[in-house]
Amino acid sequence: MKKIIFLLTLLLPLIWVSCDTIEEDERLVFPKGQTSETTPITKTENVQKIILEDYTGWKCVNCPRAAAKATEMISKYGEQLVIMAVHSTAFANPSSGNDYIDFRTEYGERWATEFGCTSLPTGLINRKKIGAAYTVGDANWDSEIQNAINSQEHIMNINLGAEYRLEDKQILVSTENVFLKDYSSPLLMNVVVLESGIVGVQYNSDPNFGATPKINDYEFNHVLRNNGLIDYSLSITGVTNGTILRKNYLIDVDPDIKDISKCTVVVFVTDAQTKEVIQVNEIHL
Amino acid sequence: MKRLLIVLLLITYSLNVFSQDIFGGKVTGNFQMDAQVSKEDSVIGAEKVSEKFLMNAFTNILYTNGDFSAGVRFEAYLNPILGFDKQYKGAGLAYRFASYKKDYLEITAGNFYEQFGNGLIFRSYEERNLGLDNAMDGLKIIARPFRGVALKGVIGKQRYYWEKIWENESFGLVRGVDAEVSINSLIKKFEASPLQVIVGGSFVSVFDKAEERFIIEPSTGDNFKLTLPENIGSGAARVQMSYKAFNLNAEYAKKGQDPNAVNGYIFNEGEAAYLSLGYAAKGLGINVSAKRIDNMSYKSRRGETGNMLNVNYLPALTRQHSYSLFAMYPYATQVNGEMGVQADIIYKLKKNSFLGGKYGADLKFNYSRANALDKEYVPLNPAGNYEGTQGYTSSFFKAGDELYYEELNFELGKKLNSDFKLNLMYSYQSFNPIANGHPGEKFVYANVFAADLTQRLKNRSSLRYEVQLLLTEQNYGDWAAGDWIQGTIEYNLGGRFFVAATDQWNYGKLEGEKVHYYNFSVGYNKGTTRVQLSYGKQREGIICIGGVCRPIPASNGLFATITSSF
Amino acid sequence: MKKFLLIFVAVMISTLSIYAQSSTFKSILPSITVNTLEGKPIKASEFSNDGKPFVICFWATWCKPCLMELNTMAELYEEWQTETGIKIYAVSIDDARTCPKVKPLVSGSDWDYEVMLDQNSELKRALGVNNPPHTFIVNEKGEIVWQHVGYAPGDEENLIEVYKKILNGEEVK
Repeated sequence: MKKIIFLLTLLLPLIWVSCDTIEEDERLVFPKGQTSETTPITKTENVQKIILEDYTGWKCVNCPRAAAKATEMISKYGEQLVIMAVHSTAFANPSSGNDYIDFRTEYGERWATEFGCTSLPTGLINRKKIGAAYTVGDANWDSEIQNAINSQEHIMNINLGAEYRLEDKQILVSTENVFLKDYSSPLLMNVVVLESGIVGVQYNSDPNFGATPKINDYEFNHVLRNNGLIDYSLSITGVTNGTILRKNYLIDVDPDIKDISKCTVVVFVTDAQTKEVIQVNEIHL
Repeated sequence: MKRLLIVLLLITYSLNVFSQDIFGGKVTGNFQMDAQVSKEDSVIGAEKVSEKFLMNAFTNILYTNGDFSAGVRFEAYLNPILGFDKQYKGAGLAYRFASYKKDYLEITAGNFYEQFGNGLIFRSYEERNLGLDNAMDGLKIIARPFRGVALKGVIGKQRYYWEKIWENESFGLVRGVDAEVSINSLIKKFEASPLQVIVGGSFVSVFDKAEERFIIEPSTGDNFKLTLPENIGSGAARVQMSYKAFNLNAEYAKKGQDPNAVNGYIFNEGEAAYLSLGYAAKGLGINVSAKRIDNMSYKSRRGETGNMLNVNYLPALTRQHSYSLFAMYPYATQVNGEMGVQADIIYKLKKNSFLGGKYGADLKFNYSRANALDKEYVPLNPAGNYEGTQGYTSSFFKAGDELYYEELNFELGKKLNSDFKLNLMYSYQSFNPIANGHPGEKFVYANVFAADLTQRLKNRSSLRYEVQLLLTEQNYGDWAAGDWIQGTIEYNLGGRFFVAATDQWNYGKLEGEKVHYYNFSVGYNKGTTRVQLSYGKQREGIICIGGVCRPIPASNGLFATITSSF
Repeated sequence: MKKFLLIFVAVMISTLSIYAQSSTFKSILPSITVNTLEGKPIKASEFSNDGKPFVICFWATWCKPCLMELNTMAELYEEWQTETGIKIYAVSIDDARTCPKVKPLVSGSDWDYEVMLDQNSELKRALGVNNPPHTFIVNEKGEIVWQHVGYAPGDEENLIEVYKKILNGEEVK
């Protein structure tokens, strides 16, 4: 009898681990970030907008020049332009001291590699290839933005609503994607949070933009933050004129964010094949 | 690979030096080699073989010394012969084990084969001629603590061609236990009882790490993540009884949620039931069996389709034919659901009876049928398919309307006189092409006949004449090429040497060319070594063993087989 | 191509060199468990014939030559038994698919052999059987002294001759 008890105890753990049962309502779940909850749409869009991605870093001595250029562009193009400062590459790496702020994001680094943003400052305009490369130096930003505004086909509008939920530390974003034309390629959705007005240390080589070799009270604007939702599917098969796709997202607020009131949510739709941005919109929280 | 060869040579030579008698132990083994040279033949669809020469070979070497045994199998596919999966390409030690038996325990480490009950939830086996091998790699323990009680425990991963299964997380871990009790052996009082009862139960669980899997609603692009179970469990209970001339074998198995590539990632639980009743008297044997298979594909890798990584074994409940035209339309179990019945009657007409004549005769009757399940489908998921849903429900006793396969056959074996023996066979088959992966094709109804005459000559030699005929109205292209006829003549000399010629001809084919699939073969047999050489055309078809089928492509050329046991 | 030939030759040589030796040694029956038709387990090492040699035939219900062999011998079996005391173990390698047909076939064909089931081919593998039919003669010590692959009419006469020699203590090849 001892023998059999001994053998049976060996078998018990197996029966314990044997079988997983997934309840009916747990089988198909929205991926993290997507939700069925909604918040009212407060920001509508009716023009083609352009996104300028400013690839930058605190150790990049020429970057204050580019940032100033970006600010100038906003005053020139106003609502039609969205700026996103992507702190990436070795210029954004933390150093041994404690006078820097780490603004790097996983996706920012990925994009920098993907689009060839290796020497900073540089920028992407709607992630459109200009000549052989995606990157555009800050000296050409003005002309290329103008170019994009003139030539970009107006395919869709993104209407937005956003709501900060203090208790959950989450931002609920509702989007209403209104198509004005047929579009046959798969589309991807990106929802990110940008923060402005953060004061910190920035290296600088040009006295026109502040102290050299570093500015201790530099103001960082449009900083791309973590926990964005990247490359979420918007349409696999493409869409037809008149289609409205409504999507809702929940973003966990990046704990590094200093002041939520200085944050905006930027939503941009890309073509899954060409990577190009086809529309962008921004909403204040 | 060269290293492996050297090791193999060293082993075999050192074995020879020791005269197969190492430290009192014994060495046995076997060997098989198939070599093929096939040339392009556009008429029959034989493709060009760029390697020109193809070869499969394996050798098993087994060492036994008292309670200890160990063995290896060296396999070489250079390159695999036609019809074998290309992933077999390569050579190496595919199988190695060491086993030790002491008192009531038997422990095997390394590769092993095992089966629980009828195999409804676990069978690890090989079918070399199909290129099918799902040997476990791990540990097996068998304990027989009392007379009549056997407990088995297995754990391991299954072979997948030459894949490094232990380094790849996508291959699941299989764990199982089985208990079997022979009541009559266990309890002395019942030992001599005419009622013999054996009961058993088993339990198997596969751990298969969940992968990221999304389903996407095509128009809105909404994507849902599929929550996959990582531990897929199953259990089975069985009973085997015999009372005088009657016997019964029944097993019921249930499988937990197992969304996989074969069932289309549905969450329905699996179920299998098997019942076989027999009556056996002198000169008369009857067997009736029935089964129900419902969503029982059970593999140790979720995304796997095809014949590899099967944890269980679900054979077709149909007759396994050895005459080739009878096996033209073979049935394979529909693991996603089927209900089947089969009846066999075997009767011997006595010697010197009215019907049996001087030598008596053997009569065989067989009927089999398989139908779809009666499935009640659930609503589709947002992506427009059943992935992630329950899939369907079905009632246990009700069969669906769709017929998969039906066959009725008779066989008569009769010794005519001291020199001639005749075997006649007839079969009527209804075959649903969907059951063999030809959806959209039409049903095939075939009448198949065979006559097979063996003539004994002097000096222990013999002649065999065989004619087969397949008649069908269905005649559309390569899939069902109308009527066939086949003739064979074979000469055997003293059981040592044989020569045979056969021709298979689709004389009823309407479209395309009619082809004579001729084949000549010679063979030589000495002791346990057999060498066979054949030349001719091989029709594209399906070979099935034990309900598992493998397509074989057309070929035209030379085929050599050497087998040996030592 | 060179590689193929090298391997081909190597495998051939090694196997044939083993084969050349095979008649000089005797392997014994392993203690692999098979089942009777009633499902009772029995070890192959426990096969016996009251101190006389016996025969093991591997067969399957779907194997034509096997049925030919067993049917032919069934007619002679009674005669052989009275003459020599021979005993034949007919080990079926039918798997779960065809296993239910074994019993009706055995009784329907009126065979008097000791029929065993080796459902998962364990004994078949242990004895190095490639394909059925494969016939062994085992002496009183449980040693395999003769084996033969395949069946052609007339082979049964050969089998009984060899059996008689072994019974008389003669060496066989």
